[in-house]
Amino acid sequence: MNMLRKLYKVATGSVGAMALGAVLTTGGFADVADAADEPKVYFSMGFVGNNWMTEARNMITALAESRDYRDRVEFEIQSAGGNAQQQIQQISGMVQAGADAVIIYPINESALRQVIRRGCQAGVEFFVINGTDDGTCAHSVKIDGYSLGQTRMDWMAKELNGEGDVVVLTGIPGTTFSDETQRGVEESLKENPGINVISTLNGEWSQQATRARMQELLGTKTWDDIDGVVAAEACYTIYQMQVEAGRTPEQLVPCAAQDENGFRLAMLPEGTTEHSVGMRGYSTDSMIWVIPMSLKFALDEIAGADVEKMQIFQAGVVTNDTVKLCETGSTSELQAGCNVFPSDKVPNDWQAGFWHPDLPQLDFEAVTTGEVSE
Amino acid sequence: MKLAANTEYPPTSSPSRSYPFQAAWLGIRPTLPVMLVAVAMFTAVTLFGGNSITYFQISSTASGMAPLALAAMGETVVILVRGFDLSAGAIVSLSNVIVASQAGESPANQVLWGCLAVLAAGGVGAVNGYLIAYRNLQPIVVTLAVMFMVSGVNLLILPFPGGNVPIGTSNFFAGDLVTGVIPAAIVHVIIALLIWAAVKKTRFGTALYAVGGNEEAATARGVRSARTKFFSYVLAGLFYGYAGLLLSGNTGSGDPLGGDALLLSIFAAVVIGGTRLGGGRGGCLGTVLAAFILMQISSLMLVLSVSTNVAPLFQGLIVLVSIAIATIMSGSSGSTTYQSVRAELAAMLAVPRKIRTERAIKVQGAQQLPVNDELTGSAFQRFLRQYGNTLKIIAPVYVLLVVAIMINALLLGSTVFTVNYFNSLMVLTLITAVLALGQGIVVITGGMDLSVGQAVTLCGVLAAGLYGQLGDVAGAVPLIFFIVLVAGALIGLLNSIGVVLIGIPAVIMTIGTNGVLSGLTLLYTNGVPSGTVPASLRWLFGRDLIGFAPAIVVLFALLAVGWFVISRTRFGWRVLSVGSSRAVAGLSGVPVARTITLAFVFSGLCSAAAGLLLIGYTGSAVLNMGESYLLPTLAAVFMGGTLATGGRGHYVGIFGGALLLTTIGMLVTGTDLSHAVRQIVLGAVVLSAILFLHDKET
Repeated sequence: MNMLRKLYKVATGSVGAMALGAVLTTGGFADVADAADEPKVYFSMGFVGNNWMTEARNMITALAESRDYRDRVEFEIQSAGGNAQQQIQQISGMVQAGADAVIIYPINESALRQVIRRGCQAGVEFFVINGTDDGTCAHSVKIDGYSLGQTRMDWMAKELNGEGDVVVLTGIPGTTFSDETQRGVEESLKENPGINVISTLNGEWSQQATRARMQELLGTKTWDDIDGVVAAEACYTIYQMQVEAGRTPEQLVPCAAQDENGFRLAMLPEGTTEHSVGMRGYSTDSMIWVIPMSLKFALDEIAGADVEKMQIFQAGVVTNDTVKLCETGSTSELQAGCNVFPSDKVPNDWQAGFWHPDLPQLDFEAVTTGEVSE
Repeated sequence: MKLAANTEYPPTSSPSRSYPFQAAWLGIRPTLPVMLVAVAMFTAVTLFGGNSITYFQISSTASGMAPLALAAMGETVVILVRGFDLSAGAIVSLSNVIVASQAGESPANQVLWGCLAVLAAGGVGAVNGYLIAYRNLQPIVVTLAVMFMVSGVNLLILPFPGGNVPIGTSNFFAGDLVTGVIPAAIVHVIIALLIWAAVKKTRFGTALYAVGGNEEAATARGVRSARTKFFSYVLAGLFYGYAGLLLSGNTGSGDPLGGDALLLSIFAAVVIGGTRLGGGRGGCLGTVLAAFILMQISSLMLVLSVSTNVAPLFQGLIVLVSIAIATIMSGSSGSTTYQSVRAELAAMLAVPRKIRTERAIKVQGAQQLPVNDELTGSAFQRFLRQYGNTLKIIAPVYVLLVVAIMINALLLGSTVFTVNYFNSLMVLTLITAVLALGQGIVVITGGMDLSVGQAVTLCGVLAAGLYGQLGDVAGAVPLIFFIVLVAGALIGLLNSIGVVLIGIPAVIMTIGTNGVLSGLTLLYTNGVPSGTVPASLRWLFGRDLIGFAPAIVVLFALLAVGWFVISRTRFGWRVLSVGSSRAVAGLSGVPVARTITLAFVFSGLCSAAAGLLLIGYTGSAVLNMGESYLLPTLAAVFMGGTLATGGRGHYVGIFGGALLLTTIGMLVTGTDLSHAVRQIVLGAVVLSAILFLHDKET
């Protein structure tokens, strides 16, 4: 009968798909085995596939597998592929799988209220990166985006003696963090009436989008019309485009943004490396350490310590006076205050501000390989 | 077999009364495979998870899948009448942001705004429907333009994620109907399915299948096809609106970008659910089950502990394999195409002369310009008569281009007519123009290539990575270019295998490929693309050519190549004839399968070239760097006069479309308009371009 043939087809198809899956996942099965009494902690990443997320994944993996932690926690990471619905589904799956704590890098944190509320009823602890204090039971580990925007623009105003034409580059419009930072920028502008914003462009935290938008702008403006750039990211691109336009190191406009390695290299005094020109800059750490720090908090909370509900962290700042080249990026070097890495070790859009003194063991090796040397 | 596959036609006569069981069986039978897979999936997740099924699991699964299920139901209705709706995700977000930003705490307000949100979504559906059904514009282009505009409006209503969905609304759509027993979301999905079942029983429901199955036959029988199409888009809009409410309930907040992530899943759900993209066959029950399957994939990743680097590839493969199975099951034309491929191969081996003959005919054809003594009048009139039809499709975009540059000059002053301006204009156009060439060829054959975004990324990342490793070796650069181009060609080949051999619709196949490629890229880079960019690629974008970038030479060369390939070669001629009618082309001796394959390979090569150029432009390889080029590329192709259903197109027009897009981008940036306005302007321009073209859907 036709139906039987169809059923047979479905069956073989599904078996095929399953087999394929099995082959593909053998790598993933690695060390689930020793499930004992250790608390189970999951990390739900909103998405994977940019430097920040990759570094964050490496750091938290390195911490979970370090000597101090590996016997204390059963840890696993999943990504939601940029889909808020999928992340909700994923988190409820984690609750279902018996998680003791879930660390979340949200796609849209307000979308998670429901699932978090339900999870709390099941006794799970949540640590939400950049969550807001909206009455849910989750702990929030927050990077203060508002003050990021404000201090960047304040610095720029000071750098330009209160007067000048500035280009502003945002993150991805429609996302919480980009909006928050932008509000900080606008607040600072109110207090600096002499600063005139020629254009607010959508830089998407990406070198590529920044370059395209800037090139559109430079079709009708020249670098002489621009006195400074305040960006969510990609000052390296601003530096690069000016060099390409034939401007000398003295002519480079000051730039305030995050912590791309290439930008910090350009900020180093001329001659330090081949890319260093002493460009005036204000570079805020992107604070990737909040991710492994959340694992620490989660284990503290499970162990009975009363971890604060809302923890807001300010970004460390690197200026021309404090920028310092690392040789190897070892813990001792980082403790001595180095904050930028040689260009042959990492891509120029790699985020250099990952380190925190409270987690000293997570050094350059940990953030690039996901392993701590012991 | 044939009859059995068609059984989702609503039973029209008595059998339902006299043989109720058989009728029900006939209704359910086509969705049985997807139902089995859904059950298998759920069992697998539960088994591997090692937990018993709890209410928590059922309720969260239901709330999670409901928005996708309803949105995909809307898309199903449209696809049943041979339509296509790219605006689905944006309309879902529209309803979501309206509720999240407006509904207050009072119950009356919540009900009011909930209804208004659904009505607004239905209204947008009506706009789609009017333009498509009564103005006879092409569905893909209309809904692309509407998608741009609606997502701009969404950002104006709610500039960032948040807002507040009142707890009452939230509980109504995603809470519990009976606490601990029945989740509300399941009830809503069932209500939607009941609405669909009722619609199917009406004359409109019958008309949907009739018009989708054979529009001419339906019209001949007195079915008003335009009205049917119009209301299918309205109904779809209402479903999207409903989906938006469920999304609001589930997430408790608004997100202006939330619907974007849904779009690809929506199409996957429709196809896996057994609805045929050609219209006339399928239904909503399968779609809902497929939505369930898709949402379970992430749970499967979790219970199998798939590592984050492998998961995207794994998910991509599952979707692709499911699509292929669903296509084979629904009795696609794949097997027949396969036979024609075999016949073609046999013919190629046996009668090589045939090809030569065809070439000879083609050469004669190309030389045979219309004989001059038929053309009278002045040189200008003769020119018009000879090239009038081509001009008609090319001219509108250039008229708009001139208008846009004029507006630019008016608003921004003399800075517009400078080397700077034109240098930026042309450099920024290059990548879009390269991709639009490949995309244009695929569209002209009647397909579409949605995998270009990730293909560009993969090729770019690959090139930078290889150069980082081999950069010091002599002769490495040409070798790397070659490898990357081969990779591009292989991507095209993969697409064509799905389209030609298995018979998967191009749109769906390339969505699947896109997912797989994104997984591969992640696997290759491990999350951080490394490597360096060859100096020669960087040099292209410097200013070494009397103030201009050398890349501009590439741009003009591209224009020449594109024009030559599409309008002057045998391949271009075949592409056009395959797009006009596969059957006629096949009967006229055009190797249809080979032409389509070559079109996809060509598009893959263009993606590879774009990947190389893009890393040259940016100076480094970045993950997802190609994704933002997909929609502009499509817009350029359509604005340039290419028919979305295939068979007509000219590269000079497509090139103009790419230039126009860049000009608008520069205008918006130069005048400091917000991103939301940028989207709205872009949609309006695409729409006016096709209104200008007066394109009738063939």
